Amino acid sequence: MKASGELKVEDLRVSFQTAQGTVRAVNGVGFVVKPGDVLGVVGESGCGKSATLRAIAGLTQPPGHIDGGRVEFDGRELTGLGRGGLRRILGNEIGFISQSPFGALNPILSIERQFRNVIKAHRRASARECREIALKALRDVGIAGPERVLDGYAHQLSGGMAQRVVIAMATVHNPQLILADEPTTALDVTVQRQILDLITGLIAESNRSMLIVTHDLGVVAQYCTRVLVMYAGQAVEEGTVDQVFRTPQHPYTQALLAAVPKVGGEIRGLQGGLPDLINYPSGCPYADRCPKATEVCVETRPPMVRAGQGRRTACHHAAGEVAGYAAARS
Amino acid sequence: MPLLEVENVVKTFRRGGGPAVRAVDDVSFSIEAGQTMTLIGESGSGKSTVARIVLGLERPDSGRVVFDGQDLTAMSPRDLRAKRSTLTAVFQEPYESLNPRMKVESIVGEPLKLFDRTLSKAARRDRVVASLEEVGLGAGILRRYPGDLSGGQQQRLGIARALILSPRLIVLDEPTSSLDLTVRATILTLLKELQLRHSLTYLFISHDIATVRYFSTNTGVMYLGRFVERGPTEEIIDDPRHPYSVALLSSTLSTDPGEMKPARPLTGDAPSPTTRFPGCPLVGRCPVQVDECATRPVPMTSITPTRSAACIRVRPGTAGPERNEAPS
Ligand SMILES: Nc1ncnc2c1ncn2[C@@H]1O[C@H](COP(=O)(O)OP(=O)(O)O)[C@@H](O)[C@H]1O
Ligand SMILES: Nc1ncnc2c1ncn2[C@@H]1O[C@H](COP(=O)(O)OP(=O)(O)O)[C@@H](O)[C@H]1O
Ligand code: SF4
Ligand code: SF4
Ligand SMILES: [Mg+2]
Ligand SMILES: [Mg+2]
Repeated sequence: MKASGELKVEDLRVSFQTAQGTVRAVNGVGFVVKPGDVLGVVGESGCGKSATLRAIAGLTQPPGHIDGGRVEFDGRELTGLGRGGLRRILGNEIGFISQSPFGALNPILSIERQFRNVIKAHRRASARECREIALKALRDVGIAGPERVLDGYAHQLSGGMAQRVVIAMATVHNPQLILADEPTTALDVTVQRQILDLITGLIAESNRSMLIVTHDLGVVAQYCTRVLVMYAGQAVEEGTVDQVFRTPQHPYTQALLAAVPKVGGEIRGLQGGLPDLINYPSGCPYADRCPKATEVCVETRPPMVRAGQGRRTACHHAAGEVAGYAAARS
Repeated sequence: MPLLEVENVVKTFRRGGGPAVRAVDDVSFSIEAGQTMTLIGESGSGKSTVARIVLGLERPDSGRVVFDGQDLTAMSPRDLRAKRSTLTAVFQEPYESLNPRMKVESIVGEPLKLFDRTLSKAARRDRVVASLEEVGLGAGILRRYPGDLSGGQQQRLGIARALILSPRLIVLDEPTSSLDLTVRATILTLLKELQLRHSLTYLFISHDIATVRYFSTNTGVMYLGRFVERGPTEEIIDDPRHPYSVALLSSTLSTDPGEMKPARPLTGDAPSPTTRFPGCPLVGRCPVQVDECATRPVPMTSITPTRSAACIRVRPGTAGPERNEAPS
């Protein structure tokens, strides 16, 4: 039996060195994922979702660099572990699923060989045992003819099949925590639903947890327990899905939800784009697009503060718990 | 009379010496002027091929495309070219459909150059600026390159180019799929405004059901190159009848927390696109199939005055039997 597996991220900072200067991709992000939680991470493309996830998994590669912060998993600090220590945890206690299954699979090794490598990285097993384990893992993700898949190569699989294989590999050691970066973005909705049912089923069975990056608010609404909204490398709002979707407090979250078509309703878009991440603004990064911005917003960066039971918001003029948005919507 | 009528269109592709793919298999629909018709269906179901045939970019093996009373499929290439000025398109990847080495002015003005050679350079620039203003971009970007623009601005540029010939019908093939939600909303509201202002007719392709509902009057559901259901958008989304539409729509996720619909999945994966079906293409995956389905052809049949479906178990009237008998 593995231990509790709480993930705690504090003040995480990631930057990328480019010819133009240092891109501040992640600027002090912090949150906790408790066992049983499925935390959805949303925000405009380029806001640092993938950089955050990769930093947690120790997958940050040059020109990326972790400038600061702590990542604690199951009581151990991952940021101080070094390559060897991290490798023992990743794939074993933490599973990682990326957006592109074909990027994650090796094109020249058979699926069986890749499974064997994944299994043997964390336990002793004969080739026969590995095959048995892999067959079961493939059946668990709903693959009907697992023998044929195992004997084949990545290019013989459809996108949905390949992503199922990746999920089977990422979860073969029953990880306590799954990190998934847009795992279904490339797939059709019918396959998306099967795969999300599958992953969240695995999690619910044994009180595991997941961090899932997505740009699909339907995925968050239907599969997540909590949601973290990011903007320009910062966390700007966090709470339960009900709290954030029903009474969003941060103006960016409000804009995001106002952009979703609702039955019989109108939609509202958002002009402009993310601020310059090289000359990062010293005040609120959303100030140049925010209808509520005042002088203090431009001058001082609002910290993430408690804004009700189990929720936090980073805004000088955040809407109250029930007031504002819900009323304005009707 | 509808502005566009697509009649029994068939298109097959053959790669190398391999078996043929029926990308579009006997598809028919029509769009009234000023309305929006949407095609939905999984990737590979033939939506883009239908769009390309309507645009004259692809010739159908058989069937007709009648636009504004004229059969485009019977026209000479020269006449077709002239006609094409009233029929334009906006595609999914804004950046890929814009030449990165051309400035904004040339990109937006290019169709004018092709279709209206008599126009002076100054007059052309005026038209370009007017078109840019229509989409919320100013003359200030005339000399910029598409690479300097954001994804949303690039897609506005694509729309400005599609508008410059004052078309009557615009094909929108997933125009917002690669955009962030907040940017997508600005483009959708812009397209709606333009439609009202210029009485535009749209053929729209999207896989986002909430967008489809917001945007379109009629919807056709495609599976393996065929239409399986067609009718008013709201009815199709709220009350799909064909087992494939039921499966597709039950998989879409509502953004309202706590509104999860039960999944009504099909069994197995989609067959290879080269598979030929003497009967219904859903055979083997359909939760309510009967023996006959494998052998009897299932043409689109009208089930209400405004709706059609291609399924032998969906009968005319209001209650399709499969709704009660489907395993839940
Ligand atoms: N390899 C890289 N080199 C330079 N900049 C990068 C690199 N990867 C990411 N970035 C920058 O970091 C920021 C965050 O990127 P990312 O985490 O991928 O965003 P998201 O996943 O939210 O779309 C972006 O502005 C992006 O331009
Ligand atoms: N130029 C082509 N050559 C060969 N096959 C094609 C070509 N264009 C489309 N197809 C095939 O036709 C089918 C329908 O494709 P498409 O119309 O692009 O579908 P959708 O837009 O619904 O994703 C697919 O099986 C696709 O592989
Ligand atoms: S701090 Fe000010 S600018 Fe930032 S989101 Fe809040 S109101 Fe808007
Ligand atoms: S015709 Fe038969 S197989 Fe096809 S959708 Fe209807 S019931 Fe299912
Ligand atoms: Mg990303
Ligand atoms: Mg397409």
